Amino acid sequence: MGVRHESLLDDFVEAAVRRDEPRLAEAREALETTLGPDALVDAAAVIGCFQRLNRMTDGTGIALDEQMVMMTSGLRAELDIDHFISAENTPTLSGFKKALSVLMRPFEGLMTRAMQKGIQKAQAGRQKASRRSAGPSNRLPRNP
Amino acid sequence: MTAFAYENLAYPIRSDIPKTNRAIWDHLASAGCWWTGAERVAMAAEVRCARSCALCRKRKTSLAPDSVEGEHDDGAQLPPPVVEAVHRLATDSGRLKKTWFDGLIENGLTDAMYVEIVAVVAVVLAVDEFHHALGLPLEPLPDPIAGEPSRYRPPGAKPADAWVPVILAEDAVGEEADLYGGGNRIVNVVSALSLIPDSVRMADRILNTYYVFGADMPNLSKNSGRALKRSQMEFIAARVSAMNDCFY
Repeated sequence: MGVRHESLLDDFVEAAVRRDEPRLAEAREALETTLGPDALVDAAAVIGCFQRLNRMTDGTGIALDEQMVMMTSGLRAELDIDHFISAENTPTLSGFKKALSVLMRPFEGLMTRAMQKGIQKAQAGRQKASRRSAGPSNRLPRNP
Repeated sequence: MTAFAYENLAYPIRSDIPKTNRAIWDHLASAGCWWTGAERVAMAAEVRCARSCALCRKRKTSLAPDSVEGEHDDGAQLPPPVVEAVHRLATDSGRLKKTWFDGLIENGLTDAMYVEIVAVVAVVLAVDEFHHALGLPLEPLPDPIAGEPSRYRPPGAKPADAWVPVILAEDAVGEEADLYGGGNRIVNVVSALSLIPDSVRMADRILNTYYVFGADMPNLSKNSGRALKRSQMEFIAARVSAMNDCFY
């Protein structure tokens, strides 16, 4: 099962990131015609967001979270991304953890969902706390 | 003229986007922890300059970018290590190495100065790439706001699994108590820029506007009311990251 309108989205992203202007104009029009102008704007926003996040992670050399490394070994192998230079920022798992991650592969989906729930709880705490505390004036305001 | 007016466009732009973009521009133009507003705006100009830089283009097509020597096409307003950092971050971030970062530090940048550069490049790219994808002209850069850098280094920052020190969730206390909202579990990327705490505060706002609300992020069935399904948003995110060779 693929993502709905995957090829339209793919064209749009590829053209935008590669700065292929004629192709981008076509992809933009196709996306707007099929999914509507709001979807086009949202797609452009996600591109902007991840251009930023990629610089944050690769620019600071921050490692992928160990739990995530253990739970995504199958997915990473499938996507063939372990050879990226930026993968060097994430320490290799020890022998035991590596073996464990291979054994965990059949349960990757289940564990990812469990971890998501944990993060979701923490995020809810973050939102609650940020609503409670109005920061001092020299701080950036939280998103309204 | 109001920045990010988005008038008479073929596409209706959600009202939170211009608000956030104006906040980003104000943040960019103000003095940070280690750089003045004028220096930060000059870095933003370098991000734009990097796209047409001959050296960056040569390096981008090279198998060993660090071995390609030369000078960047730049506005000559900033010291060479800053220009090098901005150009490489903007054009080839997926192939940066720890040795490259160490070289910048040897050439006079501090870790905190560098993190602030990363933060500036990242926010400018978010806004510029959004405009570019929609075929909109780039917004003129803001006029710098006078003021001196605070020279604030958060006491809770310490070495972690990164090139730069970060504030871990358990160390977010005192001035930084609000940083992660009191949460005791954060994914590493959230702390990446924490040596410059205001960058983390701004990051929250950008994510909420450009992607999904923080509370919805871990739940892959929620799309914060966007016109795209969450699976479509994740597909775009994955494609952008793969094209940038971003492992994270």
